[in-house]
Amino acid sequence: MSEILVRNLVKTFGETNVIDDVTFTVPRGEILVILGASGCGKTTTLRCLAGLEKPTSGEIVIDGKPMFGRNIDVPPENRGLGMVFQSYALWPHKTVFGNVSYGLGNLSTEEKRSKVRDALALVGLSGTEDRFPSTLSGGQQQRIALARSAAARPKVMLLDEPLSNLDAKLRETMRSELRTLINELGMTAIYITHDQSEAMALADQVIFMRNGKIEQKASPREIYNRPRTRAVAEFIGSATFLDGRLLSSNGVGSEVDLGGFTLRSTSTLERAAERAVVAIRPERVKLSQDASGGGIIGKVRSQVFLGEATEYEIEVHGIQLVSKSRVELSAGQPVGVSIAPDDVILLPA
Amino acid sequence: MVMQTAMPLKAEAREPGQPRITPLRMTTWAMFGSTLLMVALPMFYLLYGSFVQDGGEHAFTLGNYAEVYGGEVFLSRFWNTVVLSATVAVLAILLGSLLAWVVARTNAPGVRKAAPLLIVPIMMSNLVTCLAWIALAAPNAGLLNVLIFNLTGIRRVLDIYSFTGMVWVLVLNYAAFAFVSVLGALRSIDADLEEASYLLGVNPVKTAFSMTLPLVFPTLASTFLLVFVFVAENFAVPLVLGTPSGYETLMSQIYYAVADTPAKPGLAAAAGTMLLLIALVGTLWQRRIMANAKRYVTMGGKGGRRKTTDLGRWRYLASAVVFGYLFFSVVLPYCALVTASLMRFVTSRLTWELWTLDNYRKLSDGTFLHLLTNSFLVAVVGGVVAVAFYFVLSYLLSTSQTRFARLTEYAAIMPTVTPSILLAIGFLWAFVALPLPLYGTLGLIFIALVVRSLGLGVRQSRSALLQVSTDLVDAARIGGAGPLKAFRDIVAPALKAPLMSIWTLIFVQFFLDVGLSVVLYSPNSMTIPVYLWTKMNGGEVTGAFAIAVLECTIIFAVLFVAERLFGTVRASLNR
Repeated sequence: MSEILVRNLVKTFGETNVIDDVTFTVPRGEILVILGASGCGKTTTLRCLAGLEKPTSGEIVIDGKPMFGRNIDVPPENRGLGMVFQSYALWPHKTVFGNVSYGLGNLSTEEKRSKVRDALALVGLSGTEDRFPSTLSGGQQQRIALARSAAARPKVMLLDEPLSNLDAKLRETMRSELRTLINELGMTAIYITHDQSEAMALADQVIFMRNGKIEQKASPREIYNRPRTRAVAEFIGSATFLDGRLLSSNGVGSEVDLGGFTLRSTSTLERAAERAVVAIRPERVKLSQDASGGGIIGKVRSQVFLGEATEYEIEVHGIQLVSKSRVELSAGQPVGVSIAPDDVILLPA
Repeated sequence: MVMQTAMPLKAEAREPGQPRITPLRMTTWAMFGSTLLMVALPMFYLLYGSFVQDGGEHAFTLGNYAEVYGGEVFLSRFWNTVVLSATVAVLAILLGSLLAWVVARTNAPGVRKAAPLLIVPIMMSNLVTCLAWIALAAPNAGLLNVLIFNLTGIRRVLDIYSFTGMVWVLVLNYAAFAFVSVLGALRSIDADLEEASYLLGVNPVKTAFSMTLPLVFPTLASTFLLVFVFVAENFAVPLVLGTPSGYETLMSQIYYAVADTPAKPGLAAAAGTMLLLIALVGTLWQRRIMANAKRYVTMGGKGGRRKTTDLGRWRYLASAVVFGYLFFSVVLPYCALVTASLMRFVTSRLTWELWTLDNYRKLSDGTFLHLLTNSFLVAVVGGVVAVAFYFVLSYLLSTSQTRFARLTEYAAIMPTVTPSILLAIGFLWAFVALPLPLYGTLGLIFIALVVRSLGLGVRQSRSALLQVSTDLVDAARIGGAGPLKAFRDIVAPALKAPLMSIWTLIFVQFFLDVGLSVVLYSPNSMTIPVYLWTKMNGGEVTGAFAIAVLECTIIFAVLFVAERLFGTVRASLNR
């Protein structure tokens, strides 16, 4: 059963649709990551879910209860959600205890104390109850913000770029801790980010938003391997984009002429077309020193050593391809290039 | 309206079904409208009055302007004003910057602890400082002159009734103002910027001139302008200290035009345009500097680490400068006032018969209670109402994008650059003409004060509002608080301290005001500073000392309590 349901959500500011007919569901206990460049409408979507922004039209149902719809608009305080803000939004005049216990409602002091203790233990900051937020480091403040939103054990947690103010190393640690925490507490979460690696690491499902619309919704693996548009392929991971002419396309796969050589792909276009764009991930371009085989032959143009692999620029029949490979080659050397049909991503031109 | 039928519904900013007239909209109109009216009224009457012939029937004339701009008198007064203001502004900035540098960037002992005290001179009325220095350095009977005579046998070493005397008193007051602004600027410069310069092989002195100075230059320029305008529109110090030595400024001339009989308010209004010109030129100049300063924004506000210079043996001298300033600007004047207030008259021959409590006894007949009640009504009660007004106004200004809002914003600056006395004359004329029973009441003084401090109040309220981010309120809503509970739990506590700071500032402004009240008061609505001024101006210096001591003590007490309860003083340093 789905915990969160959003149907035909529209939000208009002035004349622009910031959210343009967005529909999605999140099953119970899953993490949905909404990914996109700034201004794509992802934060507005989250704020609509939280009740902090009033949608122009549409429907929001959380945990079976309608939150927004025709003649329904439950105020944020009655939606029973947890939310972590990008700025942490810790109240500077309240202690850690005051912050974390704020959303606990009418409990006895003793119960509040034990709930706060649990929440702080959860984020590994036991014993900080009496400190003020300003005396804590950025990472610690982040954890307190998390503890505050989790203290009342909400069924649904909303996170708005919670890690973007932390440094890279800490971000990675917090990322995995966050995932463990959300799963342990059995919460359903919506997570907003513009960082694709964060999205890959955290998500059960990823939504890519652009211009207020959902461009693709898929699992991290699928959205990486089978991006549906060029925007998605560009935003998530890197790829070489090549213009081509579709030679054939049927239920099994397609064949594309790239001018000089042809590639076979297992993907097909939704709509029949003559032209197509081919996207190829660098690590899927296989190189071999043996250039005598029957495959495509290219030439090494330049190389950059990255540590775990080397990035090569390969020229094949006047076309530049980028490859990440562990094979050791030198500039100018002829090289055998092979790309599996599964790794040739076909996109509408 | 045609637009709306031609375009789809979503083109409307207003959500469908929402009424045109909402309580918010009505409040906005009422606030903006009353602000504009309160600014426009006195300005209009002032302008109108400057074209009316003084003393006669309401005849139109250009004579006032001809006399101001055509004659020798006003032009020489204008020049005197420029010389005095520029001298004070330059010296105050030099001293203030030195103090700020010692406090922010050196290891001089004890200065960090003393820093909050450096705000006190701003809060002292220059009327009071002036009086205190009369007690100390009047040519014959000044206490310091007496002391020097007794030690060395030389008479009349110091003479406060001189250009130097005026500069001395004013610099003591305004150096503290410069200190606060420069300190803020110095603190916002990250030490990295200076260290980067050292690493490139530039020595500290050259770095200070090529790096630090340009970075604080915009601050120095705006401080210069403000001090310049403050001094230019000060009438009390030139009148008391300058007139005896023949140094007259534009403001003292304007004061004569208003206070002497027959009064020439039209002439005063016309002369006031000279001061407005100074303010206008200054503002344009500052605009240009600020436009150039925009490229410095990357220097950021935090300034994480700060470097302190080890002054070696010189650090004691640096401390001496800071404590010396406090001594001459606060401690010595206050002691002098107390001493003088206990004397029958200030004299060089100290005898036992000289000491008396008479000066205080004279005030206990109800005079002081009456003055105190008036001053407190205006400054405490009026201050609270004013802060509420400024706060609501600046909130509405920040949420409204209309042209009406921008117009109100500009209007709010106008009274700040208009000399108090002239603004008061504008109000006087307006309320004589209007059928409202406010003439001669505390109410009119209060309205004038609110208008006068509009710029300060709105600016301060805005920075207070910025401290409460919407995220903080949103987080409370998510945590289960309704809008009212969120306001009570989050917004109100977060605003308490800044609002109290604003109130303290406004309290001091209202409590110490002479310029507006001296024109608008009646015997019933006399306040402490006006009483002090009438005594000083009337030559009854002895009677003035006691009242000055009381005025000063009240200010000190309020500052002390505000600092204790809300950390106001420290907050204004750390902004």
